[in-house]
Amino acid sequence: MTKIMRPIAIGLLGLSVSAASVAGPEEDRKAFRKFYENRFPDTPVADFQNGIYSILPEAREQWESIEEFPPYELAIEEGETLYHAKFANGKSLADCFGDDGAVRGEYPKWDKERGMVVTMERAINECREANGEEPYRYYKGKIAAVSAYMSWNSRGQVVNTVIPSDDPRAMEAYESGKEHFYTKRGQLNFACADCHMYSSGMWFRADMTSPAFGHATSWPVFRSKWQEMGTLQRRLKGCHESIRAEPFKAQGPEYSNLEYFISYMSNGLEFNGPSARK
Amino acid sequence: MMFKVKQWALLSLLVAPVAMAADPADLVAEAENAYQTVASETGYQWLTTTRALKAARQALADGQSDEAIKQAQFALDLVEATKLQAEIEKKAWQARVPK
Ligand code: HEC
Repeated sequence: MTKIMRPIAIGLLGLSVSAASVAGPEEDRKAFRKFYENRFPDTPVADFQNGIYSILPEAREQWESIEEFPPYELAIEEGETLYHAKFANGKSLADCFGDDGAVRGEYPKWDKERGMVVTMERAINECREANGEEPYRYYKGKIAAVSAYMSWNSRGQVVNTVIPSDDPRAMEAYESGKEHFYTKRGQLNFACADCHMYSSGMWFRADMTSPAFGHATSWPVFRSKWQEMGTLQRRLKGCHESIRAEPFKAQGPEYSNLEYFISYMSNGLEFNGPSARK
Repeated sequence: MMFKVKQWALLSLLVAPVAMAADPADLVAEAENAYQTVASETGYQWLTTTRALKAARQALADGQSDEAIKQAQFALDLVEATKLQAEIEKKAWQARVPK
C-alpha cells in the first residue's frame, strides 16, 4: 500500500511537508521506544545500548567482568594499524575519515547522489577502492578491526540516523527496512519483531532474546561463539539462518536498509562499540 | 457427452504415470527455476530450499534419480509455501508495528 499511497499523500500535502508529519519515522521511533520502556520498566533507557545485558541481571555481572579485560582490544589495535597504514598511493584511511576516524555517529548515512544507504563498513571499503586498494571482505576480519578502532574512538557519540525529507528514496529505504523487520521469513516463519520485540526477554533454547531498541549501538562485537569479531550485518545473517531463511548479500540493499531502520529506532542512545557478547 | 468425459478421464489416468516419471534433470531444473522466480518476485528465499536443491543437484550428479526427484519435489513444495508466506506477509506485517 505504501508504494501506491505515498505519491498520493505527498501530492496532497505538498512537497515541503516533512515525512514526519505523515505517521512517519519519528512516530515509529517513539512508539518503538515506548514499547520497550513499558516492557522493561526496570531498565534505564540509556542502558538499552547493552543488548541482552540491559534486561538480564544474572548475566550482567559476568559480562561486566569480561569487559574489564575486553576480548576486542586486540581488534582495536589491529584496526589502528590498518587505519594508519599507507596505501600504495601514500594516502590512508585517515585521509577519508580524519586522524582518529571518530565518525561512527554519521553512519549509516543516506547518500543522495547514489540514492542508497551507506554503512560505515561500506564507507571504509569505498575509501580503499577510491585509492586503488582492494576492498576488505565484509562481516569479520580486517573490516571488523578497522570498524572496532573507529567505533572505539567514537564512543559516546549519539545515534542520530537522518532520513532526509527532501529525498523520497530515503524514506523508501527506511520503509523497506521497516517492512523487513516486521515481516515473517524463513521456514520457521519468524519476524525480527517476533523474537526481538514481542518475545524479547524470553528464552529461545539457551538464549534470551534482546530488545531491538539499542541493536545498532555496540558494533562490532567480539562474540564468544565466533571466537572473533563480527559486524552487525554478520549478526543479521546469523539470525536469518537461524530461522532457515536464506541470508542476503552483505551490504546489499536489504541488509543496509534494515540497518538504516534499526539505527533510526536507536536514535538518541549512545554508540558504545566495540562490545563483547556471548 | 458423458461418454467423452469418461474417455478423457481414462485417458488421463493412463497418461498420468508417464508424466510423473519425468526426467529427474527436468524436475531439478524446474525446481531451480521456481526457486529463482519466487526470490526475484518476492525477495523471499528459504535456506531449506537452497539445501534441498543442492542435494537434488548432487543426487543428479551421482546418478541417483529417485533421490534427485525426491529432493526436487521437496524444493518445489517449499517454494509453494514460500510464495504463500510472501503473499500473507504483504499485508500481515503492518499489524505488528506498534502504535
Ligand atoms: C528465532 C528468534 C530470532 C529471530 C527471528 C531473530 N533473531 Fe536476532 N537474535 C536472536 C538471539 C537468540 C540472539 C542472541 C541473544 C541476543 O538477543 O542478544 C539474537 C541476536 C541479535 C542481535 C545482536 C544483539 C546484541 O546486542 O548483540 C541483533 C542485532 C539481532 N539479533 C537482530 C535481528 C534482526 C534484525 C532480525 C530479523 C532479520 C533478527 N534478529 C531475527 C534470535 C532471533
